[in-house]
Amino acid sequence: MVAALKSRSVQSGEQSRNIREDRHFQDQAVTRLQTFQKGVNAAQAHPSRSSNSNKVISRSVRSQPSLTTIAPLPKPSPRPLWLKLLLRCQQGSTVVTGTLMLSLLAVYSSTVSLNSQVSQGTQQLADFHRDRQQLTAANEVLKHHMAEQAEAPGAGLNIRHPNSMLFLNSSSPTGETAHEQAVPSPLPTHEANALGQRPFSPPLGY
Amino acid sequence: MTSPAVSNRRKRRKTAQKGHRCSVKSAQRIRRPALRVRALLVWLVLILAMVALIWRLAQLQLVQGPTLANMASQQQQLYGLNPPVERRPIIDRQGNVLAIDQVRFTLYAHPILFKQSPEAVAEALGTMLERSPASLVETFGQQRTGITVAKDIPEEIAHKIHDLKQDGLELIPNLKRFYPQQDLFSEIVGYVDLEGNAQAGLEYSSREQLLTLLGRRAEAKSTTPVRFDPTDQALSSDDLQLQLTLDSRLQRVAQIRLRQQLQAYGAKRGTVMVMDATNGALLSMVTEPSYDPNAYFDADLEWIKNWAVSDLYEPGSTFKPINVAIALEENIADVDTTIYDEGRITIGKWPIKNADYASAGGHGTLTLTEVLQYSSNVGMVHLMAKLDPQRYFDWLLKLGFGKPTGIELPAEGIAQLKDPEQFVRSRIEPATTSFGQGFATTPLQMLQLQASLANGGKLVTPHVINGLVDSQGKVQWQPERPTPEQVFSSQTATEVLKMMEAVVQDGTGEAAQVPGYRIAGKTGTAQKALNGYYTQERITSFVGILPVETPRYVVLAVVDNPKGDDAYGSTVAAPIVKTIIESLVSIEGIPPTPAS
Repeated sequence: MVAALKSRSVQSGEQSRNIREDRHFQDQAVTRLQTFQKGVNAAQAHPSRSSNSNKVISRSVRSQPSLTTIAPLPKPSPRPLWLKLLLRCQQGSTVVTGTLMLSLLAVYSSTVSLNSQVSQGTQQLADFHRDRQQLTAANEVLKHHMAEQAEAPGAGLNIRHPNSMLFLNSSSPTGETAHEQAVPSPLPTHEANALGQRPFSPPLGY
Repeated sequence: MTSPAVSNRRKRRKTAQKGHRCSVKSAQRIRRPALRVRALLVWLVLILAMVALIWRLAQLQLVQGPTLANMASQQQQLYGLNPPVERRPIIDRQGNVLAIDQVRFTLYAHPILFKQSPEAVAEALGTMLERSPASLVETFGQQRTGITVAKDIPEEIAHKIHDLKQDGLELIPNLKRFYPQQDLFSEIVGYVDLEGNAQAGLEYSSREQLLTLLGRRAEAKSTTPVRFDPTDQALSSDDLQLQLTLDSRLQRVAQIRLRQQLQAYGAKRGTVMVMDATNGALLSMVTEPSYDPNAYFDADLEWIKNWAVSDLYEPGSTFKPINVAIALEENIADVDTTIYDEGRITIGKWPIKNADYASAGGHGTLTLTEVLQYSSNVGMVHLMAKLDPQRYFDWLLKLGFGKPTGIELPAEGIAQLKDPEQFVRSRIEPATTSFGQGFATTPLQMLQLQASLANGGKLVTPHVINGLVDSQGKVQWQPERPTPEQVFSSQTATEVLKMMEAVVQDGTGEAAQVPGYRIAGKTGTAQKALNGYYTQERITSFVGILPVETPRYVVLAVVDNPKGDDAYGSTVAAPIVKTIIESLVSIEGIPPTPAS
């Protein structure tokens, strides 16, 4: 147990040392790079002083302080209740707004299309009404024309006359006589009358 | 020696290192004011944006709202080429259309808006309008806009012109009333003029029932709306039709027969009416000469009025059965009463004689039936002389003289009686009234009075309108009519009818006999008065009632001023009634009277 703890402390010591060395190395490299960049700049500006640049680098490496501690990042403090509520409100309202926008668009488009559909339907209906009217008028004109033609002397058509009509007795509600009475008269009215027969009795309900 | 940039960087690094060491709180304390300002700015910007949006919304909705709504509806709704119906159709009792709205178009040209040359437009229009392109080009040259190119264009041609999609051509729809039956119903239906105003007949008197909601609105605004608004209730399908009680088959027969008789006797005019006495419905109503309402502008003004309703005439002998009924009701006579007929009498200074006095002389003692059979004027004078003149006058008032019958047709004439004092004081007034002269009534009122003998003594309201029916034939509206007044007892009516039957069987009305049917009737031949004096002109009539065993139908024919020595009610009017009865029994299916 103790040995395990020791080995872990040794490990952690090695790790921290390694980190420190790494950090040290990184800093040195950065500084060297910066100094080198400076030197390059200076050499470009004053080529004669380029020989001193190595010295500057070596000096700067020596003077770099070594870091021993790392400050931990501040832990985010827990959000207060009011902020949480507000955030929830914001999320909720975003969803509601989105839904409303979509439904609004849908409703608007449906009203526009419905309106135009109803309008088209009404127009079609009106057209049908118009067609019906035209057909009715044409039909009536035709009927009138035919009636006028029928009036002409040579048309061979006559006005209705009672002599050309056949009146049948209504069937009796009782079964026996119904069969006999339902048999149509073999003679038209005028012929029956001519024979002196009056086979008709007032129909029921008249 | 280090450059200032290097030293600055070092300083910053030191500061950063220091910062790491500082607590979080202190860092927040440093940054909070800046954050607050920024948040406030963002909030302000958002609020301002919202206010701006609300402002704009209010402006759109409240200020420009109506204008924009109108624009939207114009974009979304279609414009119809056809205006909707404004007047309901009129149909007969079988559903035959007597009057219907039709769309006609007027074509206007605005040459200033033509995209093509006038010649090209004229070329395209010429074939459709059946006009030469040259004449159209000449028309286009009259003015720059608003030229009336053609009127009364049928719908199919208007659609073709519309399909040309030519700029500068404008089609304006207008409704025209069309009467497919031409002159068959003109005296009842009337007509609507080219300006859309009803001028005669039912078109005029029943416009409340004929106009749709839209029609009423159009009439109020004097404009024809052409836009279809789906939410407008007025444009919803209005399938109501004004149904009449008339039968076009019977109407046609009556018209043909009446024309024949008018022609045969060179008569001035005539009328035939058929009434169902049970309710006062007219099955036929013809007046001649008539006119074609589609060309009303060619008609004589005299023809346009329905003289059977508007003009008064002295009924003559057809009034005798009514007098007999009054006498029976007043118990001044019964069926067995006998009257002595001298053939010629003088009342005061006025001679009164029978029509057949010259040939037959006096008839001697007559029963009431024989008085009617011979149409004895003297007999009637003696009969009615038994009645107190005041009482007689009261009876005339009770029968509806001086009041309109209540038919739906316009300009109804009101029967004229003499002044009551004159009637009571003067002996000649009741005497002439007893054989149907000295007062005037309309043919329609005579029909109503005769119907009271056919329906058991009730004074029914004559009418031609059945009601407003929908496309399924269901009656949606019916005019309210007064309850018929009982003027005679049913016994009196039956007795008088039997006397009238004798007139047809063996009297002046033989010409109206129809084999197999019991018909009651009475002839009438009255002298026409002109400026207070009787002339040689006559007005002949005949009334027939059938079937006597179950009376229901009354047929009246009146012919004004027939020429010839043999022009009497029995020769001119009775044959017309006979033909009508023959058709009536066929159409209505009235069986022959069984042998007793």
